[in-house]
Amino acid sequence: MVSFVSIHDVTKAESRLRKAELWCDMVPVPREITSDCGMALMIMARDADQVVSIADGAKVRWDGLWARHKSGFKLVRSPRE
Amino acid sequence: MTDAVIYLDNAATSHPKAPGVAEAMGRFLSEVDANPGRSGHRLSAAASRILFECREAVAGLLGVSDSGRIVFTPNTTAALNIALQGMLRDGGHVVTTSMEHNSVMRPLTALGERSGVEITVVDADPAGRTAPAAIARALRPETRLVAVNHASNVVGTIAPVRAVKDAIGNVPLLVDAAQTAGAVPIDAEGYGIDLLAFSGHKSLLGPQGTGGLYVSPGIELPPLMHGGTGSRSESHSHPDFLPDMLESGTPNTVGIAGLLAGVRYLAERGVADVRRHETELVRRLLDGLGTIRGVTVYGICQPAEMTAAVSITVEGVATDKLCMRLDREHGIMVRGGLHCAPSAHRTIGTFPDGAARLSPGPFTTADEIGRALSAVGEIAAGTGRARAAGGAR
Repeated sequence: MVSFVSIHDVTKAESRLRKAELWCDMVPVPREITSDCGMALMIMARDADQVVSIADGAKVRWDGLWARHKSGFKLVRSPRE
Repeated sequence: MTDAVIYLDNAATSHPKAPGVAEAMGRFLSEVDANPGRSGHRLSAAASRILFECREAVAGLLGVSDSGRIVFTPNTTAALNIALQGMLRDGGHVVTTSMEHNSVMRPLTALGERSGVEITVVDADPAGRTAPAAIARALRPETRLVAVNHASNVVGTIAPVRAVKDAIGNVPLLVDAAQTAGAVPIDAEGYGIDLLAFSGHKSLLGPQGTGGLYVSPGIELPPLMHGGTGSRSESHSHPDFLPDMLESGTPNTVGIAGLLAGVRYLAERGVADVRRHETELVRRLLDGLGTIRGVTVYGICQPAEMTAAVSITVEGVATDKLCMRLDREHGIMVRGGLHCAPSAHRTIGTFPDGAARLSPGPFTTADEIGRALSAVGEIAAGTGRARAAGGAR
């Protein structure tokens, strides 16, 4: 799951990922994820590096990459790293 | 009264709109009509995508690489107010020109009265031209902003905004592109424009209630309105990032759906093609008006240096009567008076009586221009139906 600063960034990321033929699904941000924006993109775990690369290349303001575990979502990467 | 209409008031709002605009708005209302960025369901997501796609389309048309720096507003006036009140919030000095619309002059006057903003108005010549060097000479150390319109809404004179920016250096430049966005190719980043206010319902061919502001990187503008944005909902503090920061409350998504259709039409046809078409219509109009005795045409009168706004007076015919007769007797819609730009009319010499403005658009035909010329000629010659009917109206 990727969280973003604003809905503009969510839609921009979705647009760029679709152009790159990467699967994504716009969903409401799960409650345990801290995010500035109410929507997020679910992506395939295997695409994470490519998604981050595309988002950064397009100057999309994402604020967290989250992995889903049985116990919930865990932050695995943030843009400040 | 004739039923057929020749619409020559595109400088006020374009008519007709681009093909597909009404359909896009109807489709939004019947198939989407959800609040963008607020809810998590698919219709809300669809509405968000419309906003995003329109931002991208507008950014592409204006030469802006980051669509997130395009803020939607209800009209150009709102965009100009955000820019002017934001840039001059702590007072200071602003330079503008005598060709500006009241959407610049009135906020500046209010800022002068309320916040002590000092205003220098650089006089244009009667053709509507303001020399970039004259603007540069008016700068002071405390100048916070230079505000110029890209083209006069009265006489169409196009300002050399790139040269203005070159002349003023690091002082931020606000361009009022109400008359040019969609009518004249614009490269906001290439020209070095810091702030650009545009209308959605004029040459971008969208519906009324749409407009926007481009904010270049490095420009900080506080919001005039605070409220819900769909982002940072847990906080009572307003977001500090674009576009949310300057877009509080539910947007005019149905209007923006229409604007998107208008901008897509323009992208497909090409702004350069619209420009060629309108330039040719203006040339016909100027050539024809120049042969009618008693008609005075104002402004630069060079089609390549103006947008499609031609202001005239007719000797012996009051402007209001001229406009009314064009409408009632010939079905020709033009705008008379001062066009919300009294300073511009003082500059060209038509204050306080004003002028009649004929403004063709992308769908105006050469035949319609010919009929308009015949009508003006008939009225100017005093051979119109009003006289034939034996009475002045």
